[in-house]
Amino acid sequence: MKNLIAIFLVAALLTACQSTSDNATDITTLCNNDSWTEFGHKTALAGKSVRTFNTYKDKCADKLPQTAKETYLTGFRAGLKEFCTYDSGYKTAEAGKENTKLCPLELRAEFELGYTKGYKDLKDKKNEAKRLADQAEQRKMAERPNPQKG
Amino acid sequence: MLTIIKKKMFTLSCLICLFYGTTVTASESNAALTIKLAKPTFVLPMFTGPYSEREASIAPEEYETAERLRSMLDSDEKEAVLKELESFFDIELSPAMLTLKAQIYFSLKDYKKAEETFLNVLSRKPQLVRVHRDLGQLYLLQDKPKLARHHFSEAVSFGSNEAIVHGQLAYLNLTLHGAFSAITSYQQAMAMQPEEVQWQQGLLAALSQAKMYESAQALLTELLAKNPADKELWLNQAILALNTNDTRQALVSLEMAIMLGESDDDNIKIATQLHLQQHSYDRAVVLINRHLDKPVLDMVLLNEYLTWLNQVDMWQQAGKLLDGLASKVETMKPAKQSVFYTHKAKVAIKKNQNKQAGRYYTLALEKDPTNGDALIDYALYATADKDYVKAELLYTRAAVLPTKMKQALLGKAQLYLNMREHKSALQELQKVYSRFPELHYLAEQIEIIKNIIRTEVKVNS
Repeated sequence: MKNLIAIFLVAALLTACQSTSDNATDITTLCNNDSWTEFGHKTALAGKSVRTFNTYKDKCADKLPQTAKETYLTGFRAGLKEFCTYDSGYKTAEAGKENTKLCPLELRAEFELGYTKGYKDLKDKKNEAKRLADQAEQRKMAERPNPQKG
Repeated sequence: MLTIIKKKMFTLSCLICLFYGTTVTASESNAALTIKLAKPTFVLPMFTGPYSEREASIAPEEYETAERLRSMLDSDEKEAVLKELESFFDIELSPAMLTLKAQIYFSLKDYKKAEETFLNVLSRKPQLVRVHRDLGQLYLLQDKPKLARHHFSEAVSFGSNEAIVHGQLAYLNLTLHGAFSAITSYQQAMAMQPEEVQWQQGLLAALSQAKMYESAQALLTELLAKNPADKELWLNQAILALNTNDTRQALVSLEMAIMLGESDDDNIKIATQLHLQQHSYDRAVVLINRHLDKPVLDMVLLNEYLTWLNQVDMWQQAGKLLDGLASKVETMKPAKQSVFYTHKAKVAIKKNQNKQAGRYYTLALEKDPTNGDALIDYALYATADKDYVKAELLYTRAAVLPTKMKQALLGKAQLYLNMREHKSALQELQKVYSRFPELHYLAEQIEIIKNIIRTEVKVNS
């Protein structure tokens, strides 16, 4: 059992190192090229805040291209248009994620509708699962032999 | 809060209003008469105050911030509000908050950022009429009338019902697309603000330019009934009268405007000219004297008046006018003195004071040897006085001046003809014709003189 735990810990550490290394590469690459539009687009599609840019800006420091912010925002705005939809709202809620109010006011309505529906459906599913679990539990209880009778 | 527009208005003096800037050309008989009106002022809201929810919704999460910013704006802390708004990415702000940011840039005269921000708002919510209106104002201020017109037009098409939007759209239509495209908008602006002078004047200008004189006159009559002491309205009345060839009415209206304080040089000149046309000479002379009674004498004006007076043979009045100005002559520049003495010479000729006339012409040319009018007039006088040598010399001098060359060469040719020196006359005419080929009639004259010369040769041989 102890050996198994050790293997998991090593694996976890390796994964973490790998992730940090990838991140470092991403930043270096991003600072030196002009893929900021794409980065902005992906950021919005992932439902992340526009302020994600600030992290990269600080890390790139002097290497930050002059047009980085503008192109990032162009991509981000385009990404928002794809992200702020009914489906996306629904999926966000269904995945149990919080509504971060990322969508600007004028694009928010559809997303909110989807999110509300997704949230309701998720809640219904949870309730249904709970009901089924309760039922199963009750059935188990009912099937268990009564020691007093025995 | 944004509705406190009027308190924050400023005058946009750089705008040129077609109406007041317009000079209306009179009918054929009064073709040279143009009445000038003062430029109007258009008002623009510089800063329209903090955001009002009626225009565009703010996001629920912004309520608290909006309230705080509102109180800061009430305390006139615009820079602090801007700093706070700039701490957000534009995309994080609702269009309403972003509009507020643009308006603050506008009020702080950072027009480039204001424009960018307004356009940013419109890219997100193209139907925001207030933003179209503000951007229109911004472009108007920056003298970009086509862009301004576009946004006012957008504001109207998205349902704006503000008089200022209709009025400014009308003004821009008037300047960019002609009178007919402006009339309806001016009427709408006037329907909302019937007492607003700039809409009344704008509509009047549009109706006048569209040659809808009856409507313009009806409006003007109504306005004059309300404001009989408004000299601008009387000037408009004069313009309308000139357009309809009603010279008498034009003169009456101009006199009303003058009585109410009108002092524009050109308008006084027109009144004088109309008086001369109507043979009311006494009043014309009164106007001339009053008009010339300034610390610095306007010689161009004097020259014009004296020319007119001479044209109607009022040389005595011209003489009096010159006598009255004699005290100012010494303070004038030599070129102006030269003009003065030329007129003195003309008056002297009319009075048959020939020696004095010659003396004045000599004096005029001493003061300014390049006074073309003096050279030509003196040459004509010398010709009439049969002093051909002097006349020839004067014409030769005048011919050197580009503006007088044609007149001098023709005069010289005429002088030779008078002296029966046909060969010299022919040479001069050929010289004129080669320089001024548009004088077609000279070809015939040249042929006639050639024939005369041929006949003379035959007779002499």
